[in-house]
Formats: sequence, C-alpha cells, structure tokens
Amino acid sequence: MEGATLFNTVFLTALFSSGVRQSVPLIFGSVGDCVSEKSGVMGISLEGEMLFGAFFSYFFALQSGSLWFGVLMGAAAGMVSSMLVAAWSVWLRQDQSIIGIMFNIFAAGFTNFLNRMIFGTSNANISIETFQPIPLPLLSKIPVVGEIFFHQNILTYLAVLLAVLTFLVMRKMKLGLQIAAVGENPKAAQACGISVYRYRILCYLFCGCMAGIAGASLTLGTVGTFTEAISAGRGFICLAIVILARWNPLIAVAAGFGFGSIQALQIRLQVQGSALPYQFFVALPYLITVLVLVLAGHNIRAPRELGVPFERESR
Amino acid sequence: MTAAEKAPLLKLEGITKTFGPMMANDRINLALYGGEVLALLGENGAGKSTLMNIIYGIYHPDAGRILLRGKEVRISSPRDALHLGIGMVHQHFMLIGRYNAVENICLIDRSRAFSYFDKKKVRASLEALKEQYGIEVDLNCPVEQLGISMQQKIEILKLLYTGADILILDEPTAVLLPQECEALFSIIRNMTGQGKGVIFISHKLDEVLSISDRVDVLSHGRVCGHMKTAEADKNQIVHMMSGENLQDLASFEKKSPSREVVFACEGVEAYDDRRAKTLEGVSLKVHKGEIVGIAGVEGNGQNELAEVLSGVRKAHAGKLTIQGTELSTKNPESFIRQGIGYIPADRNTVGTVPDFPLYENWLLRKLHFPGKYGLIDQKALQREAGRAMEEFDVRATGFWARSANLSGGNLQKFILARELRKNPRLLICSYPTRGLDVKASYFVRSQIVAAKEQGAGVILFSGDLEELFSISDRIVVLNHGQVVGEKLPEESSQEEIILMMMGEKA
Amino acid sequence: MKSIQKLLILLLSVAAAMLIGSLLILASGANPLEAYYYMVIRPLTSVNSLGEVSMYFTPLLLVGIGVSFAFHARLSNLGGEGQILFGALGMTLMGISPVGDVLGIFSLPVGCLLGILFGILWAAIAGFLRVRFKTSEIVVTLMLNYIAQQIISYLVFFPLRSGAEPQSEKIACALPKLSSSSRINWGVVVALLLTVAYGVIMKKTRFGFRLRTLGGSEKAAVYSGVPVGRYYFAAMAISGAFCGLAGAMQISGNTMRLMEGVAGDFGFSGIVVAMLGSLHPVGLVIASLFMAVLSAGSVTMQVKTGIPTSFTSVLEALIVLFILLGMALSSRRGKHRKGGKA
Repeated sequence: MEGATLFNTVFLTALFSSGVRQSVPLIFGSVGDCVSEKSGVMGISLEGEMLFGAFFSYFFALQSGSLWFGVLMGAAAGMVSSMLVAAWSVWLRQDQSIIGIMFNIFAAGFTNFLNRMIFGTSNANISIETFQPIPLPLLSKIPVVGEIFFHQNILTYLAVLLAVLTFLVMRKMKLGLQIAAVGENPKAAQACGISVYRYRILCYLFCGCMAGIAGASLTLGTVGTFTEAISAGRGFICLAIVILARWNPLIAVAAGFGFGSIQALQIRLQVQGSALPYQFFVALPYLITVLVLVLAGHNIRAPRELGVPFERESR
Repeated sequence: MTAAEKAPLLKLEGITKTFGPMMANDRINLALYGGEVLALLGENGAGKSTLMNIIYGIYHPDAGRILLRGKEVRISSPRDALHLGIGMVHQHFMLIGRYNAVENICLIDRSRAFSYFDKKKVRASLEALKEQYGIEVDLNCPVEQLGISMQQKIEILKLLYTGADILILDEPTAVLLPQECEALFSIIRNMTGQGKGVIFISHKLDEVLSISDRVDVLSHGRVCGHMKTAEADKNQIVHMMSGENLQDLASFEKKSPSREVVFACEGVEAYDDRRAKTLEGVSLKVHKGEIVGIAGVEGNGQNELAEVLSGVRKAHAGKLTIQGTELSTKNPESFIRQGIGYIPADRNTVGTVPDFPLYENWLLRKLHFPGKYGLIDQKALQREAGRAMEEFDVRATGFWARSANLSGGNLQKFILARELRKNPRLLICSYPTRGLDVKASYFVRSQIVAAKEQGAGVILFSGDLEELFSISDRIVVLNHGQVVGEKLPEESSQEEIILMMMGEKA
Repeated sequence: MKSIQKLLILLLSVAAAMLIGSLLILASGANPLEAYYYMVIRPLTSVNSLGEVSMYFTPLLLVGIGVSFAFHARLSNLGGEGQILFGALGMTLMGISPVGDVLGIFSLPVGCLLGILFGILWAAIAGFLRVRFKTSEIVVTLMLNYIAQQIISYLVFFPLRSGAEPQSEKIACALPKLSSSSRINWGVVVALLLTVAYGVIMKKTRFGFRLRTLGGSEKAAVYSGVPVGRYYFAAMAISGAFCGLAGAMQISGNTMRLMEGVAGDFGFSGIVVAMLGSLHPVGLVIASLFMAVLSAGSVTMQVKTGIPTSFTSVLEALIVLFILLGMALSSRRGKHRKGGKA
C-alpha cells in the first residue's frame, strides 16, 4: 500500500515543491563557493558564515519587522565574517582548512551564545512570518511543474537569478576570465596585471555574502526562527555540490535541487513513517554527500591552485 | 647608433634586493634607450631575472630608483608596469594552460573587468599583429597543448598587444631551434625599428653579440661591465661573467668506463600527474663508472624518467635491471635498498623537508636508523650528520639549522652527502646544478665525477649543454618521451644535440 | 621558530581571546571578572570540582592526541565526534547484558578494545577514501559525524533502549576511581601514559619520523621511500583509535550509559587542544587541562552569571585564530625584515 501513496502526483508535487524550498540555501551557498573556488580559495568556512547569516537575518528581521532588511543584514553578516577568514587565509597565507574549521567552531559558539543571551535558554524562539510564495504569472499555471517551480517565495527566484548572473559573469565577462586565471595560475595572472590578493579576497567576500543570504533563506525562507546549529552541515553539502557541478553555477542549481529533494524526502518520510527508522533518512543527505565526493570527485579538473596560498614575491 | 644621444627610456639607479641572506642585486645601475637592444649577460644566479622582475613590479627593491623617460616612478605591481608601457616575457611562461591564445591575451587587455569579453575584437587585432610581425601561431588551441616555441610566440604576441615600448625578454632563446632564433631576432629588430627598447637576457655569448647594440654583464648581483657590442671583446666578457671557473669547468678528465653494465632499463612507459603518457618505451644502459647525460627540451619526459628510475613514480610498463638482476620495484624503498641514489630536481620540498632541522633531514632515505630498541639515538644521529656536513663543506649554523634557511648550494651539498655516503651503485641526478652559482656548481659536478670514479653509474639530467658535454661520457637525447639518439660528446657538437632535442633526425 | 617566541604567542593569544571574551561578557551585562572567576579559578579550588575537571580532561587529552597524529601527517580529522560515539558504542556493547554479564570485570578492557576498534573502523572510512579516491578527509569526517549521530540515535531509541528515556541500560563495570572523594578515575593515568607514548613515537621512532616527513612534505616522503598511502591511512586509523578510546572511557568513566550527545563537544575541542598544545606532548597536557578547566567552569558560570556554556567554544576558537595570526605575523617579520610594502 505504501508504494501507492509514495508515488502519486500529489505526493510528488508536494515533495519536489518542498525540495525546491530546501534547495535554496544550497544554491546560494554553492554559487558563492563556485566563484571563490574558481579564484583558488576553498569555502570550508561556508558553514559558519551560513550560521552568521541565519542568526543575524533572523535577529534583524525580528527587530525591524522587515524581512528584506533581515536578508540584507544576513548578507552583511556573512560578508563581514568572511572578511575575517579571507584576511587569515589569503593575506596571512594560513592553511585554509584549519582557518575554516576554527571559524566554524567560532561561528557555532558565537551564534549559540548570542541566541542564548538575547532570546534566553528556552527553545521556543519567537517565530516570524516567512517569505510567502509568489506564483509567477502564467508559468505557475503549468500543471505539476508550475506548482513545483513557479509557486515559490522570492528568495527561490533570487537564487536562480543570481546563479544565472554568476554564470554569465564567469563565462562572458572579462572578470570571469580573470577570476579563473587567478585560481589556475596566480603567478601568470599577476604578470598580466591582476592583483591576486584583491581578486581572491573579493571572491571570498562574495562567497561569504552568498552564504549569509543562504543562512537568511533558512531562517526567513523556511523555518521562521533561529535554532542552534541550524545550518546542519549544509555548508559542506555545498562543497560537494560544487564538485558535482564542476564549478558551473547553473549545474549547481540542478545539483542543489537534487540535494534539496533528498532533504525534502527525508522530512516527508519522517512525518509519514516508514519501515525504515527515521534516523536513516536524516543521515541520507550526508551519506549521499560522501558518495558524491567519492564518485564525482576524482578524475576532475579542479582549479589548479585551489587551496594553495599565494605569495607575491615567491621565487 | 643614434640611440645614445637621446635621453634614456629607462634608467635604474642603485637597485638593491636581498632574499634572506642572499644579495640578489647589489646597487645596480642600468640605462635603456629607445630603438636599441640591450643585452644583459650573466651566469645562472647572477641576478638577471631578479632585476627584471623588479622592473616588472613583481619584486620590490630594498633600495634604489627607477626612472622612466627621466621621471622617477614607483612600480609596485605588474599592473603599474603595464600602465607605464613595460612588458615582459618571462623565462617560465606566464600563460594559463587551459586558455587559448585569445583568452590569455585578453587577460592583459586594458578593458575593464566588468565588460563583455570581446573575443572577436581581440582576435582581430591579434590577426593584424600576426601579419605585421610575421608570427605564425594557433589562436584557438589551449596553450598547454602547444609546444614551447609556440607558447613563446603567444607571449611575444601578448607583449606586442599591450603596446609596451620597453620590452624585457628573459632567456627567450633557451627553448628555440637555431632557425627559430633567427625568426625571433627579426621580430626583435622589427620592434626596435619602431623605437621600442628591448632588454635581452641571455647567457649565450654568440647570440648576444649578434642581436644586441650594447651589452651589460652581471655577476654576483653586480654590473661588472658595460660596452658597445661593436667594441666588445669576447674573451674579456667571458672573463667578466664567470671569472676563473670557466677553465675548470671543461677540465674534468674522462676515463673510458668499464664494459660492465651496472644498470639497464627496457621499454619504460609512464604517465605524468595529469595521466598523459610521457614516456614511451625508453631503454637505457649505464656502465660501471660512466656518466650518461640526458639532454632534452624541458617537459619531454625527463622528470618522469628520473622519477621512474628512482622508484618515486610507478612505471606503467618496462623492466629495470641492476647489475644483471631484475630490480624489485615493489615500493620506493626497495629502490633505495638496491643501491639507487637520487638527487631530485627540487631541493627544497622533495630533497628535504623545509621545516626539519638538518639532522632530521639526514634521516630521509635512510634504511638503518641509529639507535637501539627501535628508538632513534639523537646524539649519534647528530654526530653522523655533523661529520658528513663537515666533509662536504655544508655551511650552516649547525645541524640544528632548518633546511629552509640554507642556500641552494649548501642544501645541494647536503643532499649529495646523504646520497653519496651510501655508496650507490646507480646515482640519478636531476638538474643538480640548476640555480647554483658557479662555485657550487663546480663542487657538485666534481662530486658527481668522484662518485663515478669510485665505480657508480650515473644518470645526469641537465638543461645545461655545457655541463653535459663537460662531464658526461655519453649523451642520450630525449624527445617526446622517447630516446631519439645517442652521441659521444667528443664526437658531437652542441648544435647537433640541440637539433636532436628538437626532434630533428640525427 | 624559537620556542620562547612560540610560547609568547600562545600566552598572548590566550590573553587576547580572553580580552575579547570579556567584552562579550560586558555586553551581555555580566561582570567579566566574576565570570572568569567561575570559569577559570573556581574549578581548581576543591577536590570535588577537580574531579569534575578530570571528566573533561581525559577525553580532551585523548582526542587531542588523536587529532595530533592526523595533523602530523597534515590530515585534518574533524570526525572526532563520530569516532567517540562509535568508541562509546563499543564499550556499551561489551558492558551491558548479555555480554557484560558473561565478561564480568573483563568487560572493561574488552570494551575499551572494542571501542578502539570501532573508532579505528569509523576513521578508517575517511582514511580509505582519502588514500584510494583522494576525497577530502575534512568533508568526509564531518559528514561521518552526522551519520554516526543518527546511527547512535537509532540504537538508543530502538534496539538498545531500556526504560522510558532514549538511552541504553547501565553498563556493568565502571573505570576504577583514583580517590573516593571525587570523580577522578584511572582514565586520567591511562591518558597521561598514552601521552608519553605519543611523545616517544613521534620523536624517537621511525614510524613517527616518517609520519612527520609526510606532513612536512608529501613529495619528500615519497622520495624518502615512505609508502605514503599506508601512512596516511595509519595516521587516520590511530587518530580514530584515540578518539574511540575516549568514547569508551566516556561511557565507563562518566555517563555509564550510551545516549545521544555522549560525545559532547570533544571532537572539536580536541582540535583546539592539538593546536593550542602545538602537537607537543607537554603542550597537549597543559592545553587539555586548561580547556578542561574552562569547560567545567563554564557550567558553574552559566548557573551563576547566566553566560551560556557556548561561550567557551567562542573563546577556544578565538585563541586558535590568534595563535595562527601570531605565527603568521612572526614568520612574516622574519622573512622580509626590510622588504617593500609587500
């Protein structure tokens, strides 16, 4: 009997529609990471920046009553915190992964601390009204597909729009050519008059900004409140998405949707109950992330100098 | 020459640059006039590249002034240099391997970052430049798939595209065939004809005499002579460049090696890190007491061959034998155990661990660690390392010094000591004197010769033909991962070897 | 770098982090001196509270050593949490009935061994993937944490559940105590002995030397004949073994039952211990003592001043970030003493 309920149209529509919602933070995060990895900086600290974005967007939205102000502040928080990471890893040339790890610990502790200080120890944080779905004219009328893709909140459309814009900048503009050159061969890029530090730091700030919006889309787009460790490893899932997408923002949208759907399935099956314990479904996205890294992660051409600090006067 | 009457295009005054303890440039003065070729001559490590990188804004001088058309300028990045009309072709090309020529050249374009990347426009102006200077080059192929001389043409095209009027060419002929050199020279003359000033760096004397208007000679970071090419005396320049050592270089005595084959490989095939096949059936024989020099244009499989023969890289196919018995290639350690010594090309991160003190670096590639019960006896180890350092004249503050703080020459002596102490049956040396000064190079070469005289077989990879001719007993030429020929140095000439390196039939 | 310089950087980093921390405390309306008193001084004032400190000290030190092994090979083991959980599971399986009843007193050593084995297995996944597929061990170990959490959650909710709460039954055999007046147990001694072993292995044995070579430069390790893959794998496995042992002791010396969250923050704090102790055995002991005091004290601090315990992880991360800053600045100053504006 279960098979019948699993695969009817209503269920699938609801599932994928929720999958799109779940994918929004993943898309923001991975598009940001595409750019920063192209320039040679790994987004290990994405997770922490997402947490910052999530907390501050929630906080400011609650204080000001404006969701948009919240998103803005979330983006700002992501960007400011990423400045810290950029300074340490690009300018001071420290190991990017260690900085990232430490920053994530810091972010988890700090947002947790602020949350407790501001909203107290009880978990019953005040909920706020999230962004409401805006059906797109005409497109949302398409059966099934319209319901899934064109009946979403504004952040979803924004995510796809930004992904397309990023794709265009990376492929069609000189900037994209320069960014990829920095990640590929920073010495040569420098000889062409490109400031490697400036490009890497700016790319990383863009990534932080996107991670901040990703966090905002969690609190203001789906959940409606901030809970501790709300990002739950999404920052790292983004890293896997970027590899799966071969550093292409458009494919990242599709891959993000895939991961979002898995997450949606997990939630649905938890609620609906199934023969398997719900913990299996909670663990599923993480398991798939590992599988993706293993299966999609070798024999690929990553930016050549990814994760390698650049020294201006190196010989 | 009318050039000298004009004000100099570029003038350097008292440029000084140090790297740690090393003085790369010591109060250098230099002037370049429009419409002339200024040759900068000097041995490896004389400070030529450092000086050029200072002009191009990559390094910052510790002291000194740069004057451009009479005005003092600050060049703090290549971006500034490009804006001031200074362009440079680096010794190691500054190209993005994945990009084609158009994309590479577009990077240096003055257009703004947030602008549409107009391939067509760039391509059109490149086609025009190609026409004007007679440069034949493929604009569509990713540059990593092009040969080195093609890549150089792209670099020159890039230089012309920027419209720079001060052009720096760092060792441009090192990778070219004789007829390609001629083509390059005619491009250079074409450039100077338009009033551009060219700085031409080289250590090849004949070439310099044929292309330049004036010559400056650099030695140990100082300008030790300048003259007009027309008035230059060849012997005098040679003397200025390298002092007394040039005679010593050629003076290694050669004895005929024994007939006993100490090492042989057959049909070695291997892939590089990008999984491209770089060795295709290489077979070699090394006799006891023989130095086999391997010549080839860089990137024709030398690194892979050195690594395969020393066990660092796994061969895809092939058989190795040492003194008649098949070499066990189970793991890199078994190569060491069977008496194969290896001096890697990269001294700093392959030959040593930069953060280790010297006495710990002494343990690399060691099969038996001093000490009992599996615990290392630090005292004994330090004594051992200290003695060897004394014997090989390694100058450091002591065995506690971190290897990162040693100069290239001392580090190479240290590595050499470590390998030679084990009396290897086969010694593989990969570019052992690269970047060393004349004195250290001489020491390294004489140690290699000493090892051979004690009966070791030596395989010497080198980019320096003079070195190959002076110490090897036989020269094998590698091209595209294949052995294309073999010559005895006394029966051959550098020109002949160069032709073979370029893949011409011998 | 000179060791005095290094020590100075460490101390300054701690001071700087605590300074920033006191701003946070001030901002939240509490008195920094009072908060730091509860956090740093108070835990050291009574035998009882020292026993509490030891509950943090042992796992911190063990995980710190484990992480250090990985760091020496330039691997980042972020999977401490998962490995601790699996180690805890190993101990639990041997400690509860029916196995615990059969083994009796032997359930303790056998449980520890199984815990170590489980820790190794869980870490070995990441080690294997890294060696075989070059998959980033950073992401894999982290993902394995989430997966381990769910596995343990499933186990305590369903098959191992005893009673109303989602937790296993009590294990039969506890780690013997060192003194009757506090909670301090023999785990501390074992951890300290293992620290000595760690120091000897890293400094005095061929294995340790080769591991450090690998971390110093992978290419130099290959050149020097080290079977690189095997060493990477070994580093990860040993790392997992120590975390697994920490988990086993967490059960047998502290909680006595398997439950969710039994790993606490030790996985990540262990990384901080390794960094703060700069991988040196004595440093690790001091660092874990310091962090254990902070962790134990933060509980009192939360009760007395209302500053949440998560303040400690802010402090810890800040300390490490400052250490990295200090190292970068001092090595930079050494390099270009005169250089331009670079």
